[in-house]
Amino acid sequence: MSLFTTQIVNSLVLGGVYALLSISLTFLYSVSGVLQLAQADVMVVGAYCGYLTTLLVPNLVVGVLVGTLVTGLLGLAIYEGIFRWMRNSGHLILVAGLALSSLIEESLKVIFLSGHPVAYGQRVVGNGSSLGFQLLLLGLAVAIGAAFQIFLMRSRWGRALRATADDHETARLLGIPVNLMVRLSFVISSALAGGAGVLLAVIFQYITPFIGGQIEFTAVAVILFGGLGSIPGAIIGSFILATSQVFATTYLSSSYQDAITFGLIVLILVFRPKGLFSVSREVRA
Amino acid sequence: MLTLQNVVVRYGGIEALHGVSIEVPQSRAVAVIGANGAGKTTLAKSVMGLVRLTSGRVIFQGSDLGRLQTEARVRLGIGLVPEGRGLLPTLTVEENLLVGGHTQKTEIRSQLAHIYEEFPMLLPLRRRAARLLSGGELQMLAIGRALMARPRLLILDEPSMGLSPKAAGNVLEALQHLKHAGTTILLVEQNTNLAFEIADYVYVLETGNNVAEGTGEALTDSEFVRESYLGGV
Amino acid sequence: MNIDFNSALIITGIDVLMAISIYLPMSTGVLFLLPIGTMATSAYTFAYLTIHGTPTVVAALAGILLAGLVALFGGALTAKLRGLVIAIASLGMAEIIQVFVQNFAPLGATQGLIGVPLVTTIPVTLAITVAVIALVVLVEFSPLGERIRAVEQDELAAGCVGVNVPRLTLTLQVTSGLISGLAGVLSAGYLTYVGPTEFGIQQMNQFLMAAVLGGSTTTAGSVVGGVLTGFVPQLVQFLATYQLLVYSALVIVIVLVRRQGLVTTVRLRRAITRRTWARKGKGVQIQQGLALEIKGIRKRYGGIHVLNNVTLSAHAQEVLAIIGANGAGKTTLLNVISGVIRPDSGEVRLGDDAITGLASHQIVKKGVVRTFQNLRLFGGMTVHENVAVVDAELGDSLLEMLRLREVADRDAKSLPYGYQRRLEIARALAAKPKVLLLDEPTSGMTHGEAGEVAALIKDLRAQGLTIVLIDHNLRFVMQVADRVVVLDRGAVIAEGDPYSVQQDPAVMDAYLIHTPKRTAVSET
Repeated sequence: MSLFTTQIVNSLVLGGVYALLSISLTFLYSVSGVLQLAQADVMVVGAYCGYLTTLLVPNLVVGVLVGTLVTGLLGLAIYEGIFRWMRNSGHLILVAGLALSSLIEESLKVIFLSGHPVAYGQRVVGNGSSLGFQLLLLGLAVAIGAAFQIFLMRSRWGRALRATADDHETARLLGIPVNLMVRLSFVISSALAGGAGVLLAVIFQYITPFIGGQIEFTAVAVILFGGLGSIPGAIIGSFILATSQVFATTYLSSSYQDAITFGLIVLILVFRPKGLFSVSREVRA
Repeated sequence: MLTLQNVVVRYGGIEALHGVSIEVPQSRAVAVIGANGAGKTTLAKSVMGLVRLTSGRVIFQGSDLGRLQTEARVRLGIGLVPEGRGLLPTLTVEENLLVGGHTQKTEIRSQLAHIYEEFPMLLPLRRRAARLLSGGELQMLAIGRALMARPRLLILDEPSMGLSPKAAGNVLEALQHLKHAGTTILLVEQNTNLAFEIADYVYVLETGNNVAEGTGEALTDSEFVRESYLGGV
Repeated sequence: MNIDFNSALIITGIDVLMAISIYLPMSTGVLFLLPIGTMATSAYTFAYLTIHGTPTVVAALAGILLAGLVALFGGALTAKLRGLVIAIASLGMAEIIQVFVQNFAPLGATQGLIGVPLVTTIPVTLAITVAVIALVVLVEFSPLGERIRAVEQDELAAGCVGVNVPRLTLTLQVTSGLISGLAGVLSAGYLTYVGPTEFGIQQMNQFLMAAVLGGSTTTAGSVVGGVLTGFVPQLVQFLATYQLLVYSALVIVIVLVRRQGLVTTVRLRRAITRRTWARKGKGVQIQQGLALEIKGIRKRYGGIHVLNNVTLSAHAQEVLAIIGANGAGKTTLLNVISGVIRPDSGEVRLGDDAITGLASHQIVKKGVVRTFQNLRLFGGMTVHENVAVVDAELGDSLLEMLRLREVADRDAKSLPYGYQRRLEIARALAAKPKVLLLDEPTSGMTHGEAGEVAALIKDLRAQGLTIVLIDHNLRFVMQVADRVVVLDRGAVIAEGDPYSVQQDPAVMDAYLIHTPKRTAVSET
């Protein structure tokens, strides 16, 4: 397989995982109005759950399922413990997210021996870089994303969630229990991030409590330039960013990978402040 | 069917309603008219539980609604078509209608077919996102969506606002049709023509107070109302 | 317990400075996160120059200046952005600076630079920190502070009462750059080392927490926050591995318990400013009105002509009323005159001056001041402060004139509707207009209140002011207007004295309600 093809596959896999995290963030934001800055750390919790599960059952799919379940519950706890009490708190919502992010990182550090890197066993990931395995990862990412999308577009509750995202008051007037929808959005988005975390840990080939911090900023940037609240925007933004990162690492040097990422983010935000695919929630005149 | 008793609503130091009482009998159409800022929208919202009453009571079919959640009021059979139409921009026309039937466990499809029959203009638009609709189409959608929950009482807040005379005429026609079919209607309007055309009884609101009430004819003849709301002509 | 008070104090000083550098732009509502990058700029400049033999003071000045320049560039580049977008864009710029120093060999790449002279002592840190705090508090308690808060409350309205919003925001961003530059020099001179890991997102998060946690509405909040992030972690050092864990849990608790941040100084500030400014007590002066001419204005949105060749004029010292149905283009016309939107073509003249295309604050300076249909007061500020934004030296005479004196110390948003409407007029008059534009001044008022506004308008006109008003209350219009212009679908369809306009059949058809068999469209 040529280097170029490998890079394409790598970009797709990385982009797929970024996309899951960005979808999770942008979906949560559009339903609840909360930009949850610790979502990438929820993702890391998912990664650790996957790791622990695969110690017992060496199967990645089972790992993804358990990771999804546990982080879904974590999402509920985060809502009930923190964000439920923080409506209209402005910038403080961001601060709460940052503090929560640090709280999760530090807790993981305490639980997992000062955060020494751990990795999934050979029995789970085999030769992790083989094309077949990469395609399995991609398949899993697509499956998670597709399941979420079908739920959102086709089911009665998915429709109610989207109505809530469009307008809380109108949703209420149609008999939709808006508070329940907000709670549900925390559970679903956290589960989505957790599932993505299991896959990310495989791609990175190790887990530490800190990998969340490294991609948090990227994920927020992606949803902003994809257009806050736009799921297609989040997906396309993720692939643009992943591709530029993978190719910059290969053909330039890895140290400039971040410069490319940040340069791209600043340029896009300055010239398209509403994002590449902004969702117009305004009424036509 | 619906009774408001001395409703007072105050927010942020501003008293929007100072003890308003109105009565909407079963299968009748009642209108509340008044200028901008008279408290009409607050009145509509107070029935739905979107604003909290400072004092007074809202009674629907004999029971005090108290602090009942909006969702529960919808389940009881009250529907509101809000001011500005309550657009759900990213949902398609059909999805808007389906969401309107959220409280209905059964027969959503047959109700959907019924709405398309009632508002045939929506059928060709069913796959279009709501944000792409014209004002008149949106108003029809908003009414159709509220009807998906099969309300016993339908409240409409300024349905003619910003519409062309032709579109406003369509709204009027739809309301008349509903009235004949037996739906109880509470219309909150600034457009006195529309209100007089449809309503059996009209209340006039001014800065949060009832200042006049009567049948359309009686009010048209009243010197006070002519002066205040009909431009003094 | 073994606490190093020296380093705790110095770290606290640096944290306070950084918190202030985030607080300053945030006081206008802009979350600008470049300071971590400007701090790095200045720290690296200072380190590089001192290591290569430049005198300390020169190196420090060079570092701070460069930090200011970077902030100027960053602020100008992101001038149009707001909300989260500017936060992430500015943080992205800071990250680019970090990646640059991390990879640039002359700056030591990942190793950083060592051998910076130890210049940061406790007296130096204290002196600088106290001086900066004093300066910022002075601004907070000055009329400039009111203007800054007005921008935070409502940018558009601030522009429409004469605040130069772009210049004010950029000034605050540059000042923030300079202060973070100071912090950078202090940090390099304390650690005797600079390295890329000191200037990452983690540190930015820390400083942001400091700025918000203490209370983002006042300098005192930044000081308290700086102490919390700088000093408290040193106090809980005995917790060893659990130090950060406990600290972040503590932050969450504070955030949940004190949603406005730990401290506010609103009452103290109001007590002081109210007393000092009221003493100056200048009187109101009504200016001699000028003529306002509007020629051939066109404006289209998405193919629809909202204004289609509108030509009309208000003569000097008259009351001109513009009426028309919903969607006739009245408010758009007012937006064009006041510089909120630009017309596609056409001209607006005030006396002999063309004012077309000027920014709203410039138009206010020329003498055209407006109010808003849907009330754009600075809601979280008092009645007195709303007026002080425009002219702090104006005493109570203006409030007296509009019967607002007894509510002078109440928050604008807590006032009854009629009072809020009068306050909008008071705020506009404080800008000394030659032409006053009123957008639906009696909307939502009782007949009694509308009558009072009518009397006020007649009085202002008698004193020589030119007034252009939009209203849907025809009785009111007939009462106050010298002339009436009727707009319909973006064009003038009638013009003349109130009585003849009222009798015009075209007007009856387009606007007045009682034409049979026609469902008129109501005004909103």
